[in-house]
Amino acid sequence: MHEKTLILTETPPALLERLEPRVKLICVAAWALCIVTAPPQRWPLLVANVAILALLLVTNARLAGRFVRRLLPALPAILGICLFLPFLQPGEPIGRLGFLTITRPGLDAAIRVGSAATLCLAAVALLWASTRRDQLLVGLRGVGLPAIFVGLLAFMLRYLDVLRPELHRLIDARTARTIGPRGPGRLRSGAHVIGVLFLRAHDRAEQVADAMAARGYTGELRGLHTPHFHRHDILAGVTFCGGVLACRLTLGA
Amino acid sequence: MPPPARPAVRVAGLQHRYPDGQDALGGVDLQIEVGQRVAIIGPNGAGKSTLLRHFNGLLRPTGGRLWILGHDVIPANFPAVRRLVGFVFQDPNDQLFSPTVLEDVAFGPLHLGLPLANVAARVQRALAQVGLPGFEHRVPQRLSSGEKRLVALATVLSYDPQLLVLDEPGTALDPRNRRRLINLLAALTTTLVVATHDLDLAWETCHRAVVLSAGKIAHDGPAREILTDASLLEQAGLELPLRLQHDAGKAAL
Repeated sequence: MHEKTLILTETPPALLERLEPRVKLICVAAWALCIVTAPPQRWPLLVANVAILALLLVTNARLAGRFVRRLLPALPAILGICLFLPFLQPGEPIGRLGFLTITRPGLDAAIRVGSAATLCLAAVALLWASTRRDQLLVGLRGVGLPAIFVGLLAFMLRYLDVLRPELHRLIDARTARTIGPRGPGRLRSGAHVIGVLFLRAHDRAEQVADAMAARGYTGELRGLHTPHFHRHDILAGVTFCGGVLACRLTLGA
Repeated sequence: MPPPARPAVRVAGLQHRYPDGQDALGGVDLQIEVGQRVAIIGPNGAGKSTLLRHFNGLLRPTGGRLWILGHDVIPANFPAVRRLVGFVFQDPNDQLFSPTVLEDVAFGPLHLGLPLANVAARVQRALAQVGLPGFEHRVPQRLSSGEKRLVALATVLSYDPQLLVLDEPGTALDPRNRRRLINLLAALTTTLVVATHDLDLAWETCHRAVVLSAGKIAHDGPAREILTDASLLEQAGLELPLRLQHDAGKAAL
């Protein structure tokens, strides 16, 4: 069995988990805006943003594992982009790596893009780690995203859950009929698994869509919990947005 | 003089041809009265599932018409029809697509426009009805086959459909869970249509049997007559229910 879809615990929710999803979405958007509009080489601002992230993680320590699991898969993509930037930007050379020249503007761009992208992804990963899927979808609708976009996102997330067990069933079936799979044969059978998964996914997606339609789904997902703003949600949102904006305006001026 | 009672299901000359050219239904005429319990029996490929999928508009007829409790099954009436019809799919994995049992059982009431305030109570009642109280926060993918089948039934019982349609409900159930399901179906008072080739299940849960063969109704009558007619069943590619075979064997001894 390879089922890791949901871990339900009885421990009290972290601070961020208790926050209204729309507030979290607005905070993440505000923070990301402050990060990406920061002028280059404002190191105190970068330090402040890292400190904010660290503070959030410390005060929501039980989310750390989930946060890391959601952030790590995205980091190689950022790293891949940042590795090329020092060689691609024209400008003052500061060193050589083989036949490639590292330039100062290139290195600055790599640091700026890498830090901004990592911080933004960290903010999203923290949002994802602290918000249940249905709440996130309701929150996205609540902040004004079109129903069709949220519906597509909801379907995508639902189908991931459907596909994961299907993939594991196929892998188990292959493993049960294979002795020490090695070499090109393994690649070939892997390609077959992906092909069959695609066909099964299509079939299963149709069935799930029918099952949803049979119970009244017409394009808009409705959740059990209607979110309500509380005073502490508004206070937390205003404090956070005010804090990151103040950092951006003072340290990044 | 009271108005004439509307039949639960009225099917007139229903035809269905799949896009690949296969004729699944070749002109089905059928009327099911409110409160009747009908088994649609027939071998694999007889058109049972295709017929049932027309009951709530999951498939559109290529010929003929049908009405559910007086509602013409056309797209404009789908919301009303789907509120009346509880459709339980052959594979419970198609029916259970949410992260928790609670969300799956609540899906119907939420999307069929039932009052939000009652949804939690409906979920609790439906789960209690199928003998799974307290399963709200379980993960559907981690349930046993029998539990999945019962939760799939709860997903439609939660919105009190007036017509319950079950497609092969006894598939992949162990004897104990099969017995549990039969007892549950036998205790329901709603109009029931069960497509099955499990004739013992049909014997215990239905009063009327409709034999479907090659997309047409071959026989229609009281279940106890049809299910004891060995030659009729043989012509339709079926066998006597096991309990009757067992009784006949004992009599021969």
